Amino acid sequence: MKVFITGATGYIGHKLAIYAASQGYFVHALVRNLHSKHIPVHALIVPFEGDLTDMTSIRTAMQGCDMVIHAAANANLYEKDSSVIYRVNVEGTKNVLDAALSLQVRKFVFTSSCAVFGTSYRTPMCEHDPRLIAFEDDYEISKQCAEDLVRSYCMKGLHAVIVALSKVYGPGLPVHGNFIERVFERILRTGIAFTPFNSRVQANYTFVDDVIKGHFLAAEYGACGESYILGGENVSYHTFFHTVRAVAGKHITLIPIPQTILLVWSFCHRIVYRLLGVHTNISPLLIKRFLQNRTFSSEKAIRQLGYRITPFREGLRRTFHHLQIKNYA
Amino acid sequence: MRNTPFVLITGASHGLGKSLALECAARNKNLVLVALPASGLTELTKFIRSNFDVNVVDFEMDLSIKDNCVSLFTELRRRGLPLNILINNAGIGGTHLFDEKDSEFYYRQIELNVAAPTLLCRLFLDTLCENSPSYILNVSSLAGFLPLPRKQVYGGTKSYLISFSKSLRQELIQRNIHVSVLCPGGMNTTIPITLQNKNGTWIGRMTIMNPDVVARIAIDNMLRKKEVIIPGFLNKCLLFLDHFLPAIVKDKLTSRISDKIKLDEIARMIQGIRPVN
Repeated sequence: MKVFITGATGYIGHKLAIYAASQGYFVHALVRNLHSKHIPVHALIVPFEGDLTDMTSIRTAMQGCDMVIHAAANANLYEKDSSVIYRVNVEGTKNVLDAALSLQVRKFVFTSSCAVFGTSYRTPMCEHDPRLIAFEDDYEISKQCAEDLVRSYCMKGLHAVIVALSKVYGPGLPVHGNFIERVFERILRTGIAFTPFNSRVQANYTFVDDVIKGHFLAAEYGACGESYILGGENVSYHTFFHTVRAVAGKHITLIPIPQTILLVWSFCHRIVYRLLGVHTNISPLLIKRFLQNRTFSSEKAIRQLGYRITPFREGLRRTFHHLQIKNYA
Repeated sequence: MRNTPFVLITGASHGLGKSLALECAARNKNLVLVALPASGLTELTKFIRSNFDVNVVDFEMDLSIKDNCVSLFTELRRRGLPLNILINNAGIGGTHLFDEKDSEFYYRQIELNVAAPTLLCRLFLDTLCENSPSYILNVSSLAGFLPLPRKQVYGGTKSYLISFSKSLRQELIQRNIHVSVLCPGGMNTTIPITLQNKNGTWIGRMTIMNPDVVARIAIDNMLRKKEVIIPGFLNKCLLFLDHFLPAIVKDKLTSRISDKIKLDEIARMIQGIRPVN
């Protein structure tokens, strides 16, 4: 079986390609630059140079594939020209969908994000719960638009399934999407963890290996046009950092930072970026997002796909084990 | 919870209506929610029931049809649900030239934006009186004050609501019913509208508010018995300046077109597949 994967030089896409190849799939990986050091290497993986905005390159790379996993996206909240995000995430998705429809691909999996569900209140959010807050940042709007497009292609006869990922952590490429690993690395190196003052805020953290398997479960068992949350455990910052401290195997000092200082700090990053063009990963929107309750339930995926969650402590233990080996090497 | 009076909110499944419903639920108010069939009302009702300690009754119906307004009233009376807040939020918006829509569209817009709130105020008057102190909140718009191109009929219907509410307020104050009118500016309600808002001029973008913020301001001020509620400092300034500024400056401020970001295409692409948010 041949599978076409986009975003193969990204955190999730890279792991998807390697996993698919290890399962015996022939992988056609769409990459923007054939010389990228992040291209997954395996005997069954063939990289194809192309771009989501270039229909011909997509069609060439997708030729002969039975399955498509569209994992590529621009998640850069700092993009100066926000239309780039829409061009990649919405128009790019449309191009991949068009190609998949005309090449009669059997299964289509679209990698989306729990960002489209927004914040949660008392109970963890499910796929059909109403969104509580307005859509604000371009990334979540673009992902919602792309999801709508995917659903509209189901009407045209494409068997497409959507998977929504929460905050993904675990060993992987040192790229934008894998920022939690960098946070862990810094904590290990310095022995200091800055935690938000309001440590009761909860979020959902999902171990990367679960998400990767979840994509293939969705392809196999997912219902057409349906969305499945591939999440992990809902954990408060208090539990998060205390688990980090317990698992790290060394003394970690936790320093609580008031919310206002975090926001001021993120605004400073923004100003530095605006004035000097120095790229950072911190933005006020991102900080705001991290200070809101965002809990999710993967119940539907567990029930309908057989999706399994690695407990947070266990996932963290494996991540730290990987980091220790990496640093030792 | 059972015996405390209910809040009736029309157009509750999306945008501001949804935020008003969530805001009232967070204030422990029992809810009667009305919205169009298959607009997501069932999901919202389910969510509120499992997350808040309030009673929620939902009705899926089109209030631009007169008989539906009447049957909503009779059904609530039959169930004996006391009502002390009526929020007329349902409305048909739209930004388009007058000849871009047919007469049928405008007729329905007038029925939903003008006839339905009038009818509901009249039908529920006795119920509100019995459960006083009571409140009526009619959702108008800044467009009700500022005649804007592409908002002809919409602006007209919203002007009616301002005038109607101010007048009704004077009549009902002796019966301990307080009428307020909410006049928000642009809001990030649906995705196509949010994209349009992002496409606006800098000053235009600065006036855009999120519906959850507007809902909080609206309920706070309604309970404070304020007559006209204009959320947002900039919107208040704009309305104040409207009396003094020359037309050319006003055109600049109200213009929603800028060359900076071209999101129109995206908005168009999803328009067909996303009729509601």
